[in-house]
Amino acid sequence: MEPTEYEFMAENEKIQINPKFNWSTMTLIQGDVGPFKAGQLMQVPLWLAVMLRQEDKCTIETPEWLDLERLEECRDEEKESPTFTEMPAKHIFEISNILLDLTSASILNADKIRSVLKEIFDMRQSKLRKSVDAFMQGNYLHAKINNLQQIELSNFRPILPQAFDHMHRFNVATGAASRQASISLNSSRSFSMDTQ
Amino acid sequence: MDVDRTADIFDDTLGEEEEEELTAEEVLQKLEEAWVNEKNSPELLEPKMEFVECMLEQMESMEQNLETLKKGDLRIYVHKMEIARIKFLINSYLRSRLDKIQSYFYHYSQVPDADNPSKLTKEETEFLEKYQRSVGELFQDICFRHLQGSVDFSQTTMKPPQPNIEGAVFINVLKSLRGLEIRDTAGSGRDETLDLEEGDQHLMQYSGISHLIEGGVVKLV
Repeated sequence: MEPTEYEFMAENEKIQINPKFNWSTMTLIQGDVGPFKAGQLMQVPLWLAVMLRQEDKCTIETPEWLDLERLEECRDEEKESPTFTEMPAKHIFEISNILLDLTSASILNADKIRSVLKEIFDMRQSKLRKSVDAFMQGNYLHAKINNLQQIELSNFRPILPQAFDHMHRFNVATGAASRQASISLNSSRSFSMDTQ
Repeated sequence: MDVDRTADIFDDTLGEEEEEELTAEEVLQKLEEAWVNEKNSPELLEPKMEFVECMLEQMESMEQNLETLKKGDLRIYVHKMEIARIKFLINSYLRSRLDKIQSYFYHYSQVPDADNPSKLTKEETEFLEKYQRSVGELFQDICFRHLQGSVDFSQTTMKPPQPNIEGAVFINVLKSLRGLEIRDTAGSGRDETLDLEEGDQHLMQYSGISHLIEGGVVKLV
């Protein structure tokens, strides 16, 4: 799956907005939204929030996890832990990407936040690479990968599952070849016994 | 601002009950899950056409209602955007199924029996037959009519390309399951028994968990 498709999925997450207009409840197929009252915070899906913001009909309330200190804490935790730590939100990378592009003027330290998020992403990618190496060396049959976001997994999709497949094919071929070899060895042994 | 007098029109579109009594919201949720599973699975999964049809009905009635609104109404943009999103979802779902059918058409055209019920809808079966015919004609035109004698494919021992069910997939566990057996299909004796906890994510062979997708025990990521 492509990153844009993961962004599509992330756009269904709810986010808080402050509308600048009044309207009654809108009945969308995916659920009701509203009623809209200017100045009163409410929850809407992210795609709707982005649309309204682009028409300048609302302001988006920055989620509480999109904060420089909080993210720096996450980054430090990630550095110290040998395994993957839990991220403050599902689809964190996609949502922060959308919000930073759209509302960077109203988010404090937007640039610093971007670089901290990149650091976290890169750290996790390098951890993932090291563990893939260990996985291949150990010739394991399965792996447990909690706390990894979907988009990070998809980044690895060409490498890890395919490496696994290749190892598997080699194993199958080796297994078949060794069975073949032991059969012919046994048959030649029995032949030589008969002739004695 | 005046209370919206046209709100009543939209009340009909929500809350349409399916046989399983799902709301439109839940149907959309299930369709999204089916889409993700289908995209990540190496083989064709059970078709969820009832969700697709329900969504198509919803969108049609929504589009009809939209025509009654006056131009420039805020709601038009919002509803149109939502319809576009659902259309994309349905398109992508159907296309990924057709992709798989096209890649492995010979495998899926084997006559289904009790062990392997066909997972193609009526329209997909028609597509498959047309595609198979076109490919057959193409090969005939390009190559077979120049060969001596006749070629009969039912006599050959070559296997046609099959979906790689032993490929690795990422899964997310939805319901806990104890004692899942993983067979080492390479025969080097690495069989294991696993316990799956809810919320875990794993990487493993598709063949080990393919039977758990339909029941909603795991989902592909």
